[in-house]
Amino acid sequence: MSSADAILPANTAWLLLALFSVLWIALGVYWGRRNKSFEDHALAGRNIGLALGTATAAATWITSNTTMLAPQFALQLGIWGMIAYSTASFGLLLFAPMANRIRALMPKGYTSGDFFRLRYGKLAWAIFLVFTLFYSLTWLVSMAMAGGIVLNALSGIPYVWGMSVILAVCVIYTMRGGLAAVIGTDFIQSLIIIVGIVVVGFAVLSHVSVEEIHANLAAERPALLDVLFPAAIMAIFNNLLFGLGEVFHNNVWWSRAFAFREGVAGKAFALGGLVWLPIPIAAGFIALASGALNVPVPAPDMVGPLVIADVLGMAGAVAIFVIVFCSLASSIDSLLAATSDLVTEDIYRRMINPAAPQQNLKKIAQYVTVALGVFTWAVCLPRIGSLATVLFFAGPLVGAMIWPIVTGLYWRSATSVGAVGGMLLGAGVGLVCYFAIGWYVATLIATAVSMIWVLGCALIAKPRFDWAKLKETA
Amino acid sequence: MLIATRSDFSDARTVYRGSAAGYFLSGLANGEYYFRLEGKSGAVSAPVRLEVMHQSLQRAIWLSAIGMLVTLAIVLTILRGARDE
Repeated sequence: MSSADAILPANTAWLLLALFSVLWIALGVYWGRRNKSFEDHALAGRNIGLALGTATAAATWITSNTTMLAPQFALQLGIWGMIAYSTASFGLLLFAPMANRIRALMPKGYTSGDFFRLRYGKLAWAIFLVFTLFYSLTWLVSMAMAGGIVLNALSGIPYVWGMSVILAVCVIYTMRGGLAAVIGTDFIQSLIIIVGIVVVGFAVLSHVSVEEIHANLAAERPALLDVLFPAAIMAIFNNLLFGLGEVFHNNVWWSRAFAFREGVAGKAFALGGLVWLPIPIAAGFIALASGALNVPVPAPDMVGPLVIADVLGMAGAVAIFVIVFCSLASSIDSLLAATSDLVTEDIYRRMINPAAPQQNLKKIAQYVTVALGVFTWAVCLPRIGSLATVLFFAGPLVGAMIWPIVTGLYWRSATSVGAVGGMLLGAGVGLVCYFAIGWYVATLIATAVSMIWVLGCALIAKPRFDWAKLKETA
Repeated sequence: MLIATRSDFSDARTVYRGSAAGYFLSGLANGEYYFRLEGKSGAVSAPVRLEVMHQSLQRAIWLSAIGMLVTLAIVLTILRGARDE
């Protein structure tokens, strides 16, 4: 996009980018001073309280997708699309009781990989690592790429510069400050995003009433109000299960369960889910107002910024720029931290150097963070737009892991054969359906197939798992 | 930009008035639609025909039923918790 089409002058955008970059890096360095061991770096000393815990759960889940894709969902799939997107909050709400259980079963755990290794053995662990690294790296790449594209669309800042600055800033403060910096910055970022979305929502309502929006939709886009809109109905449970799979398996969420103070995890995830729930609805509502406001939308993924800039002018352009930057940073930092911990704990410590001291592990985690940043940057550099769609392949993979995780946490009868078969069969059938039928069934079918296999294996299993095996001390 | 359901544009109405070079339209019901652009001077573009056909509602309901079943089973398993400790 040329700078002439941008809604924010490039000079203002660079100034905002510089101000926030300095702020995040300074906070990261400050919060990182107290980290001595790998446990401090990766899990913030296992001492995160309720306010920070709630904010980090909500902020990490508010990605650039929430502020950009939720309006697109509303514009394409209507009211159901908005609701379908908001069902991703179920992931956090249902993870709340699971996080309490994880904390109780694995008081010394570090990663979700630890759970697979100790609960199901090495084969299931290896499959889990392949699935989760594919998901985490594609999510990381798609976020960094989205960062460059969105900043370019909003302000005309060249793609490579926008992508590089966002990525570099996140790598620096995550590497220096570890999870403490990620959670601290998440707190500030979540406040900025929530205040920004609320202000924008009220600004839109002051320009056009709900009745006008409804009348416009009923006349010009009736399917968006239709209760029986087929594509939208199909999206609901597929999206919901994708969200459950993402939260249940990924180390982004497990590392938080381990890092929260005792008794905090359940409440923090439940409150985080409730805080997150209205964000995509508010963002989607903004998109539905585009017709009544007579804002022309050339491509659905730009509907949010265009409506906001139309309603609020320069102030709106600044607001959306800051909201998008905060949404991107709060997700990229969490992914960098959680993935580097996973690589350090599950690959370096458990496979390569089991005798590594805590101090060395912290250094390794920092090197891995930088390496992940460089890898992501190199993949994003050519701006292959279709790469971002690779993330959708991850739907069947994460859906197939739901049942092995849930039954593994609660049932002694859940078996390794069940977990391995559930993951492979579910993901395999799900991927076939992805290509044969469409994306809107892939996660759903993968989860259903995995469920049947896992439940069948648990039903006929004789051995009972000893929960004490999960209480590994080093 | 005008939209109509009849090819002679006898039931035409304005969808957008302005100078944008692109326009994303969604949420149309099943059926045939015709579009054309009209300039300020009265110049009219050639019409474009569009057919909208939504996906099968029956398939959507079946898939939703499976999704609801799987989701309910997950919720119940988590809320029921560990029983055989």
